[in-house]
Amino acid sequence: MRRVGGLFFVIVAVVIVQRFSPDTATPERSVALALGFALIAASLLGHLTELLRLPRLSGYLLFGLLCGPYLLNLITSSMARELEIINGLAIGLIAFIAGLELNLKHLRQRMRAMLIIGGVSIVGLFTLLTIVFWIAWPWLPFASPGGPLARLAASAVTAGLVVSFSPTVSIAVIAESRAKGPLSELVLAIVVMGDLVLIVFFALAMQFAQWAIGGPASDVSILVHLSWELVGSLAFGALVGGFFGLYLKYVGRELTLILLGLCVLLAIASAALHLELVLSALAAGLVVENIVSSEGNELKEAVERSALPVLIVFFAAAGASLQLDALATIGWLALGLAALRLILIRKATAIGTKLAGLTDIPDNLIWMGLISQAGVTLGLATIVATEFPGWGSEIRTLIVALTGLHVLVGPVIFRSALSKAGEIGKLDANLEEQHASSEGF
Amino acid sequence: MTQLPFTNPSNKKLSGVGTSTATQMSNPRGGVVLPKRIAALGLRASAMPSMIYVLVGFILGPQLLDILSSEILGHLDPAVSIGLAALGVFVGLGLGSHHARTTRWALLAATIGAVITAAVIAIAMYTLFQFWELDLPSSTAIFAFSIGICGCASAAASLGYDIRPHKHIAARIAELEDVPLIILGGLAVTLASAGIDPFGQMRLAIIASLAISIAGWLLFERARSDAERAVFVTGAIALLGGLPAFIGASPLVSGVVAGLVWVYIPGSADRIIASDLRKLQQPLVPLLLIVAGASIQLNPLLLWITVPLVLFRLSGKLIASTAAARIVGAPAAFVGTVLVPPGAIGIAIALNIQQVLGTGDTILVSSIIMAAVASEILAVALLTVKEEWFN
Repeated sequence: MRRVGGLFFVIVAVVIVQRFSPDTATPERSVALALGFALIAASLLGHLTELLRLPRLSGYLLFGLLCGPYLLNLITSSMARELEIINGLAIGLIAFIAGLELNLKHLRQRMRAMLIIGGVSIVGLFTLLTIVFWIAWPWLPFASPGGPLARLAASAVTAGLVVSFSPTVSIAVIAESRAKGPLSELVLAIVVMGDLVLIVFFALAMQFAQWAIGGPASDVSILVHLSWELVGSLAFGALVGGFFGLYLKYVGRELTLILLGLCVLLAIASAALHLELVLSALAAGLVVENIVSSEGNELKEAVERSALPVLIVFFAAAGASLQLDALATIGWLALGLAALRLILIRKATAIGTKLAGLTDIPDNLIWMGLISQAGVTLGLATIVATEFPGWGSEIRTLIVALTGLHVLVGPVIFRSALSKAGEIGKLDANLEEQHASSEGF
Repeated sequence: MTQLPFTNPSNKKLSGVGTSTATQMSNPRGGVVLPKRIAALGLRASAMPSMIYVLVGFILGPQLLDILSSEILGHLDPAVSIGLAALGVFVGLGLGSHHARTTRWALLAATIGAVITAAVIAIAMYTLFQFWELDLPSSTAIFAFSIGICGCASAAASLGYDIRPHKHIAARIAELEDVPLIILGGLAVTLASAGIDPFGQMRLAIIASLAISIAGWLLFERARSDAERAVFVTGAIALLGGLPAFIGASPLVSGVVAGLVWVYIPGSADRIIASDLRKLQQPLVPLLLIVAGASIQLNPLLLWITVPLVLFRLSGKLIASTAAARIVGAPAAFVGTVLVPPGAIGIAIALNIQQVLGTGDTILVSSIIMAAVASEILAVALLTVKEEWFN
């Protein structure tokens, strides 16, 4: 009851200020307001969704959606844009957490299974969707990219976008549900690998499209750029992770503050050096976890506690930025495509699981972790729209709608899978065991 | 001035800007060995961090390395609002938790002292500005009013001694001086934001702050984990910073209002916020000082403002010390010793006014910082602490 009362007073304060603000009110100075409102109200809504056995982050997204510019407009579009300044920090932190979760010793035992399931899912999905788009293009509400070859190129680019996963959302679901176990590890590895592979696929597909459709001149620079993006990101992240490891070892104070600073640094440097933030932060986390593992556990506890506010703001902003008009424009097609993607992912993971001979994870759970899509997909779609203003812009609208659907539905389905696998809350149990055993000694 | 929230690893409180001062040393009998002179400019280890933050800000800022470019400083605006609200909450908590009888007289003396000093500075500077016809970022009257308020802050923490309110009421005057300054500063902020109805803006911000403080009271004690409580505390402080910033009012005033509500409302909201805020202050208060340092713009106008400001401030402080000393019955020289070293709250108010002016012209913050440095040097040169004042 007190929580409801608290939420009521927060909403009253925001509404009063927005409704009765003088003409001199400055929306550009609304970031702190939006931040505070999102932190308290989204957190309370997240608690409510948890009571309904849904992921907390669905509550954060729902808050953004409800209070965002399309519905209540308590968070205006300018506020939503301003809130997105936290995106770099959030993505960096989430990927860093993912790196901390990837213990190479554990992964080595499952490497084969991961490669097979991931490979079959990604390659299978990409190929099948390319064919489907190539065949169906004349009936879709998109401008024609040209002849059959151009259509094939456009189909490959679109398939690359539709296949892509969201490491950020998957990792966030795992982190907020405190999950630990084979399913969490497998899904984490597949989405991270998927991110890597799809960047390559997408770059190659774009190169092909530029050649086939006659967009901006294609040359080898895109491949050089791609190599830099992949190798450079990993190397830069590893270097930063190494320095952070030294800090942990020899100083080890104010970890939360230093870590947040590190994530900001990674975000700024990645943008400036044209690196992939997810990869560099992931590499940094991997180095810390696998090289300075003894301090890594201490860090992990601190990080997981401090991740909550970042996750809340990140997903609330994502909810507020969901473009409902895109869903209204192209909703049926997006729904159909989402259903097709879901069926294909399910089939592909089932085949992959069988081929890998995996027995400890039911094959009907793995696909549930691969549904989510989010920011990276939108970023790639924007590139397509810029490069190919005709059909590319239409594809972007489709992807915006599709991402909107997946970001809402994906976490719910994944959490349900983690629950069925009995992995929710296992991280805390493991930490308690470690703590007890260390005290015993 | 309220003990500013710098803590060293051993949890020993350090002083704020302008904090001068002497390191406290305990003797074997548990008393305090008093240094004979007030140190300045962070030359003592205990005062180093605050001045270092301002210096670091200046070095990183647009004037030198340009790492903290004007664009980045713009992005830090929300953090500044939140930091100001956090400072305000500390002042509110401090005001509410003091012994009532001591506080009443000290507050009266502090208010009279602050008003006298601010009036001396503002009137004198206004006259000078009119005479010189300087190109200022706002109207001459508002700028003079702002500089009067920001320029008169004092650093109680400058003493660094065991300041027990019943014994050292003079130090309490300097601490409580923050309250009238924040209120007057709130008025200056709304005036500078070009509001037609500054009192209406302040009223709106206070109503919103009351709602947030009630929300905080309802939520803090009901958090299910430390992490969730930290989210509620951070959210409440962000709202206390963001709501007034949105309408061009002062986050410091909102913070004081909320701090007072949390002290007087039943329950443990005040203890929770004090404990959790201590974790937030670590990044926020240094950030305020770094941003302030980075905002310094060196130009000839700065010299024209700083030199008279320092002199008028010193004159105002001496008059104010005499008046305040009569009210509380303390030696006027001691009250002067406490009031002359400059305080960080003036820099905070100046930052706030600069935010709402939004002109990119940072002459107000620059001159307040320069005046703080010069006043600190003057304090060292002119003032002596006598041991008998503490007995």
